[in-house]
Amino acid sequence: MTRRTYKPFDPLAVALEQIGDRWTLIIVRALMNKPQRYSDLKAFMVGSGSNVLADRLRRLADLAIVTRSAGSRAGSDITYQLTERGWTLAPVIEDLVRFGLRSLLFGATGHESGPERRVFDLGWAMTNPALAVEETYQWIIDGVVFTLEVVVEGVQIVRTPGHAKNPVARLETTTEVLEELLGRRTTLGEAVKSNSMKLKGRPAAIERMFTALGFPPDQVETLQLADTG
Amino acid sequence: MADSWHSRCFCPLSMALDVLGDRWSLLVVRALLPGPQTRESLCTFLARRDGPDLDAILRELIDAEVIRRGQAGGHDSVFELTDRGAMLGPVVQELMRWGLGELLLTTTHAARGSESFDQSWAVADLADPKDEAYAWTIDGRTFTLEVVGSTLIRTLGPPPDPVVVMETSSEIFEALAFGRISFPEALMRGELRLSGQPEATRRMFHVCGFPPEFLQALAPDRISPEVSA
Repeated sequence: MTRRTYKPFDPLAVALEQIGDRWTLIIVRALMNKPQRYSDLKAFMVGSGSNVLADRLRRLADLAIVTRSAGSRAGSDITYQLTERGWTLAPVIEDLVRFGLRSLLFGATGHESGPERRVFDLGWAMTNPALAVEETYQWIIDGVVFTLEVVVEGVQIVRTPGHAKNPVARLETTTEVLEELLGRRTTLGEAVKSNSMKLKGRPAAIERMFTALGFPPDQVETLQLADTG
Repeated sequence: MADSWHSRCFCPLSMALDVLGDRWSLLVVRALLPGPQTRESLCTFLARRDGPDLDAILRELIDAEVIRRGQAGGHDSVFELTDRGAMLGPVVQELMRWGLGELLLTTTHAARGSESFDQSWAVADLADPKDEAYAWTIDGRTFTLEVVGSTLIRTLGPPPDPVVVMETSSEIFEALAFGRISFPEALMRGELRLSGQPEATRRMFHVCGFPPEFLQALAPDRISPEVSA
């Protein structure tokens, strides 16, 4: 490597130097869900430069965090997956996710003042933007009510404080339950069954909601949506 | 303002990374974890690391409500973590655990050649720096730490002429580094073995960046019975 990096004998600085880069962590997080092809990973790299993915994958392979494997059939796609060493990063990611989740739901100030209006990109979660439907969802998290509105033009989701006018799906739960879901310590199906998450709406709308918000398909499948009505 | 951390995606990890910005932010957060610090002490801490513009980082962290100005003892420029900022403690700990494994070669994927670390930040206030070598055996694997000026060179295998020899496990080293056990405690329980002159031992920990509180516990009268050449 030609770049001269400043490297002190300091565990935090070394960790940040190796894995502290935004795109590196986003790739590791994507691979915690499942092994991914190069083209799958591209969807997670919203806003990155064109060669960033290739560069980070090379670096992650050098660090033995990610391995690549060719499919069993000739000509099938190469997939990338975490090594055992790569999986040791899971607690770092989970702690970051836990920190980010509260900001995502409530904004910087937390519960007290409630969430302010914010617009988010949906492109990374909606692999097929044509499937986006203009509709609103209402979430109550830790008792705080807010509206999530899908805007098809621009493939965005808008978060506003307060009740939704005509939500097609309603969700009520706590940040703890969401954290467990994100850390894969529970599934959507289990959360609903144990009554720690309440869902209302038509199965198809609920499915669209979770998909639009980036929940992985295997999580959405655990809902067995027929009975949530 | 909010512009400095606009998340593009409705994704907790993205959000966390937006709030944290670059890697210097977490170094500031770590410095503030034990308690409020004056701007000057943060400056010493970061400037020793060749750091970027501290004021810009502090401003961003204040906007993101990770830190705030405190009013300790009439000082007008004391900074402290907000509740939100304190939530980053586990992130810092997990990153340090990862980095420690890298430094001590306990989780490293492959035995690398020599690696150099820039310790000018740690050596700066050392009264009597010396070019010398230390032997560390962690989890049964021995490596050399050699001081050349302000550079620390780590090489696998024992040095010919170490002034300090240390042997311990990665668990004990981690507990020491995170302040969960004290140095005299580890020595007394036989969980850490040291041989070398007390002064050389102090220099070793100093060069390796252990904090002043730790070095105080190394006062010769406290460790001399256990340390012998």
